Amino acid sequence: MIKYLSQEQTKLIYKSRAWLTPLILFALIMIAFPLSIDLFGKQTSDLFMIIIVISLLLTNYLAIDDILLEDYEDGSLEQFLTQNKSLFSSVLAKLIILIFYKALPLSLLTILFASVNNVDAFIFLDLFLISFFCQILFLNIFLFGSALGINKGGLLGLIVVMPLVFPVIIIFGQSMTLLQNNSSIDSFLLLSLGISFLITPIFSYLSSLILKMHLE
Amino acid sequence: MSNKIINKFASAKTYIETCDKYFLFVFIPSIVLIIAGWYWGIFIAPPDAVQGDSYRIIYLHVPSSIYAQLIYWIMAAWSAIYLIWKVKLAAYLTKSAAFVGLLVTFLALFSGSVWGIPTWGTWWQWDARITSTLILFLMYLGLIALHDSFNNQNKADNLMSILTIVGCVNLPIIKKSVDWWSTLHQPASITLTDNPAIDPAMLYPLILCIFSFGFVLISMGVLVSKIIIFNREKNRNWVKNYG
Repeated sequence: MIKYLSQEQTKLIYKSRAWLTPLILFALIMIAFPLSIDLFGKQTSDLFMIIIVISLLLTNYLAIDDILLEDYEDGSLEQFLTQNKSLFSSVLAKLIILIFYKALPLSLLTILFASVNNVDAFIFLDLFLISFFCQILFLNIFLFGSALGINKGGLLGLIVVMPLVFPVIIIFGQSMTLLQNNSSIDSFLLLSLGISFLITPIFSYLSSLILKMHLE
Repeated sequence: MSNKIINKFASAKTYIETCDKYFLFVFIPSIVLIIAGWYWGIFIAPPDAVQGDSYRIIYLHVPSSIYAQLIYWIMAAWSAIYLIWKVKLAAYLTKSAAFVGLLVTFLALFSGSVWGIPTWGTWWQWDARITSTLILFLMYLGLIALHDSFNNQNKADNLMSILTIVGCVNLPIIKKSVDWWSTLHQPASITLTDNPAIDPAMLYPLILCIFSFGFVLISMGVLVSKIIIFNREKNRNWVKNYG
């Protein structure tokens, strides 16, 4: 597993454009929204809570888009099968690296933009955690979609997993509403944390199974 | 012995022969009963104290809403059968159920919109139940799109089955949406655990409609499954000799 993690990390570091694009897109959305409409102090913090859900959804989709296609097209995935290596470990490693190189920086950027949009500082920790956990869920679902529609274009994958994304959006959105009203989101944090731990290996396994089906 | 029984009943040929034998005995009574149920509900059942005659859309809306979700569960069961035992018939039935489920979900959304105009003053609201039913509609569409995008039918069956099972996570959310959220849509009037919240004069035709609608959908599903089976098994001798 450590070997797969370091392989995926090396791949991602060399593809710095792929790594930075979602972060830059996120920053672009966060900067653009206050500029696009006339807002005053308190309104930016309210609208921030709404915008953050959608912008993290879009940037995580972009982060996953074609993530498996490159390996599929250059034969790396086939090598896994022929050399009897664990495709599940490779997919799981890819997901873990994505979580630490994309979801974590995006969560930190969320806090940065929250601070400049007059969001109350005492909810920063909750905001960081819920955005991080929900991004893990988004990444899992979009990875699953990417595996399903690997050689059919990203759109098919997105369409078929879109219904699975909605429950996560509901959790994220409800959390934002509660944070706006200064309420506790501990139950949502525990729920999203628990589901993240549960579905990460499950979706990695399913994705590897689906990739094997594509290759056979 | 058990393998022989499974092989016999899992055979597409046996399925088609059985359907041909019993189809009219299911189809004709179901049509008669659904027409009787609708007649009873539309012309005989009394008007509602608050909604007047506009409530009568329930005789289409409620059965279609129930079966929109039930069909997905059935598809998930067939998908599990296909993935575990590789019974091809299960994959054919899953695909045919997806078409029926799509139609029924559309009927549920459409009839709900028609009901919404006199009741809520709007044909659409981003309410939890309505939105989650729309998600169910998208799920059916996604399954059909996924299956049809692959030329390799075995791969398509596998992928559709996996996605069907994974998609089951949405069904409890759809079912419980009226309880978990403060919604415009009313809570369930008929539940398994409580007394129905609807007058018997309206309830009995509704039960008849729900029951007969199910058999209409079974008949529809059989017809669609026959088309799918004949298409998929077109090179088999029994298909060439059929009829």
